[in-house]
Amino acid sequence: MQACILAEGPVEQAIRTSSATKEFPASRAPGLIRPSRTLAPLERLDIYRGMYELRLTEALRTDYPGLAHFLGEEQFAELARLYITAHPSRSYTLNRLGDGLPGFLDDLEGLPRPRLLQDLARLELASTFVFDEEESPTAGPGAISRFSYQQWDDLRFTPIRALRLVELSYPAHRYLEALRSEDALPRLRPARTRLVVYRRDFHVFYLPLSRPAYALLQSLCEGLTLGEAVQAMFDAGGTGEGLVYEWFRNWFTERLFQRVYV
Amino acid sequence: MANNWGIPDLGFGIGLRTVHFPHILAKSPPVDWFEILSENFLDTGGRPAYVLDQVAERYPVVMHGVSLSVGSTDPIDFDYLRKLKALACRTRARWISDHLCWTGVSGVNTHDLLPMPYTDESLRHAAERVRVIMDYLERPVFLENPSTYLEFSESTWSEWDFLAELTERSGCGLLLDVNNVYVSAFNHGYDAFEYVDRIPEDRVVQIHLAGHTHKGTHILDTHSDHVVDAVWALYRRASQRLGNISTLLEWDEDIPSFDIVHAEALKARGFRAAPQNEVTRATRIHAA
Repeated sequence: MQACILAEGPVEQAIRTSSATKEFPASRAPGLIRPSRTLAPLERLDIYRGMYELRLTEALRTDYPGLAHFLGEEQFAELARLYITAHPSRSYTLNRLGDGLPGFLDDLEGLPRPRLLQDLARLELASTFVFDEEESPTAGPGAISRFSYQQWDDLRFTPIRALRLVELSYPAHRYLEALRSEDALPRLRPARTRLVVYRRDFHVFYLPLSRPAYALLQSLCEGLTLGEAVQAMFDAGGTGEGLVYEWFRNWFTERLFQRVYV
Repeated sequence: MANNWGIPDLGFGIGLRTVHFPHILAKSPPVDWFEILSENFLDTGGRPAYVLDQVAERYPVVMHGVSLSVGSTDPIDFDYLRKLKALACRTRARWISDHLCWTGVSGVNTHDLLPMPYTDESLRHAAERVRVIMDYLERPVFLENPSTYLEFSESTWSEWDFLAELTERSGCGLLLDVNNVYVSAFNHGYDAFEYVDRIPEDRVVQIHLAGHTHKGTHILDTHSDHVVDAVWALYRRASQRLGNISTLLEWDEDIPSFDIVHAEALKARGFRAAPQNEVTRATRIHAA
């Protein structure tokens, strides 16, 4: 029964797929199900097939509203169908059904504006992780000031759990923000975009970062000390200290860290 | 009629749904209790978890799941059970329910409540799994009769007899969904009242009500509308047999305002057979 539900095409074709015939020969399929007053056996089976595709497509649409809007109803449904066929759910939760979608898009040919679609998908996937992460305690700017200046090089910063860093080829966050606020959707052009995706007060935000700021924050998130992270930032074409202070002030205001320690 | 576990009537509850979060947090509406869809809260630590904690502080919570898959031949998912148990502890859940169904095999989850063949073999299989699940959870589990759209030719048991026997063999209880009884009765051509009359009355701790979608040739259990008169009639019959039992209204598609959903749940009062002498949260607050 499951093989028929998962198979593509009309139900008469589904019962003849190799996976279905491993369960029972196609000729026996109708006999396994009682007819009702109004429906033949295979029509009854087909009800489950229809609901399966609808349910899983809806779950993907929930996690990828930007991608769904960009592609339109029909194209997104077709993408979902292809994806679900290749990646049926293997978990009790639908929350992580779409985790493989960005990678799936990477391998799919014939898409309109593939790089932008991939960026939208990657950003929306990061957003789902950020949405679902456990809440963390947050550290204010005072978390640094309790250390002496001599200790700063050795400081380490633990980011909040609901934080992801994403590097994109398009400013895809502008599309998602416009969609969320029901503004006119921007026509996006390629532009290297580095974002920190984070949650504050149970809302998911996107904060664009310059290349050195991204390098600095990424290093800190990887567990490097402040001294090592600043060096990594300079290696990435970094900037002066004034901006670093400004970044940290902003990051603490946005509550991106849960702990500062030596 | 008291149930086997001495579980009290909680009154009239509704499903906790995301669209109603702001209303519930802001207004603390006088709802007797909330039922949560367990899977929606197992792997999220953000706003849903925060809201659930708030709700669990203020209201009795019951957990209703869709993934026990008691009819499956796959190994029992103990990771899922571990999380379920932790959530029950966190919310101080009054009880945990799921469905008589299977959701997938070979590691795949269809996220549907697929029908089981009602045979001696499947009965033995399901009873054994339910016992293992209850042992692990260290509490009884209550299984709901599903809405089904097909029946297997090899079935030798009626669904109501199968459920009754399953409760005997496994020690589980029942969640009687009278809308599902109606839906399946229409789809399979049996008598819905006979179903309600044959359910073991000491095993039922909860009743579900919901709307459905009539497709002409069959009925889909969509939880997308008001409860129809025929289902209210079944509820009245169930209430006559079983007494006052915690009653929950499900509304999951095209969800209207909180007040409309709550009002639909409270309609059930008028269909209960026994005197309304129970003091529920709603009556307490209204009286105040």
